[in-house]
Amino acid sequence: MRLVEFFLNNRTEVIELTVEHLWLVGVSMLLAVVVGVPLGILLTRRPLLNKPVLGGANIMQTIPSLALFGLLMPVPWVGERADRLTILALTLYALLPIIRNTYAGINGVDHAVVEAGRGMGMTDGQLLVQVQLPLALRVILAGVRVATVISVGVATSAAAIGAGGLGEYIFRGLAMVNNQLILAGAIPAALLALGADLGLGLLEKSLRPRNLG
Amino acid sequence: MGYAIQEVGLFPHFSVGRNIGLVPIIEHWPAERIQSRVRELMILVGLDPQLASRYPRELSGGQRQRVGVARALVADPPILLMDEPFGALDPITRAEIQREFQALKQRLNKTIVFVTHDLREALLIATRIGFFEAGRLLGVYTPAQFMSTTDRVASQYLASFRTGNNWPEYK
Repeated sequence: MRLVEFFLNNRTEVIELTVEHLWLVGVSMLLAVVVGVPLGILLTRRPLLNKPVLGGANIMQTIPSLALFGLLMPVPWVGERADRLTILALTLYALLPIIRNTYAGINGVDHAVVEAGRGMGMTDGQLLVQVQLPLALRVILAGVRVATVISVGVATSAAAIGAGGLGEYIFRGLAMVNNQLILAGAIPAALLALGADLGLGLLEKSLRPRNLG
Repeated sequence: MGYAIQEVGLFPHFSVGRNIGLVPIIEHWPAERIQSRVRELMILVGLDPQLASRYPRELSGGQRQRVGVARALVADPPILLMDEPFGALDPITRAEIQREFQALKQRLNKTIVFVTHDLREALLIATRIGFFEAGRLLGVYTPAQFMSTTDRVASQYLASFRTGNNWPEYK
């Protein structure tokens, strides 16, 4: 197959682009979790913030990715470099599933368990760390999984602004009307998304035995 | 203050031993002290100490409620608040655990506030009965006083409780 030949001949570049892609997704997912999970927790304490925060994250997701890249360009420091801009955009995209699942996961913990914990004199912090987060972990992880898969896809658009990643091949292939190039970018990207989905899915499953009530 | 509720609210992701010992663990008791205290309490509430490594989902309703009581007692609180703790049990288990609890409380020497809708349970367990209606305390009685009270609301309640119990007549 010509495609396999292509990968073999250009393996340095393919690897380089894949690593770039993973880097973009990896950093943005880390940021999204670090920001999103605490925000989700905050929402469970201050339900009034529900509409603005979830609404805001929702709007972020509705904006088409290329448009979001364009809108973020004027932002200082971030807008100056394509990779920073992409990471910011990807983070914003990942926020909705993560915040929403954290909120749903924590609220979904059996209220009797929370009440018993409070009655025993546990502080809110102890309750959160020892009871609520462990019990909500599977749902939160499901949100991370969805966000990661979306990110891998959106990151392919990043090449349009020069941020690198497997989208490079796709755009190059489109410009040169070269189907092989397009596939050379699209297939690894699809495989990455599938791999992330499977991998995180396995992680989710491994959390099952203990947490079944 | 010790707290036990109807739904029990055991932490499903902790073993029975860890459920009972949670407060001592949070307060950093030495490990052997926690272990021996958990064992002591399990025996006290009528549970086989070997169940300590099991998880709540592996236990019956009666066993779970016993764990709940043990958990409430672990830090030896002077006051115990129990909100309809035996309400969700089947009648047979319930009767058994009521009798055991009545014996248990003699040994405990604590102040126990026990909320119930079951007058028989109150008469069996209580040293004093506080009679509430719509959130207002109407009176405090000993069980004997309650059975013979002339207070209008209390005696009405007593009468309706006596006649309200369905016992089918089979010929």
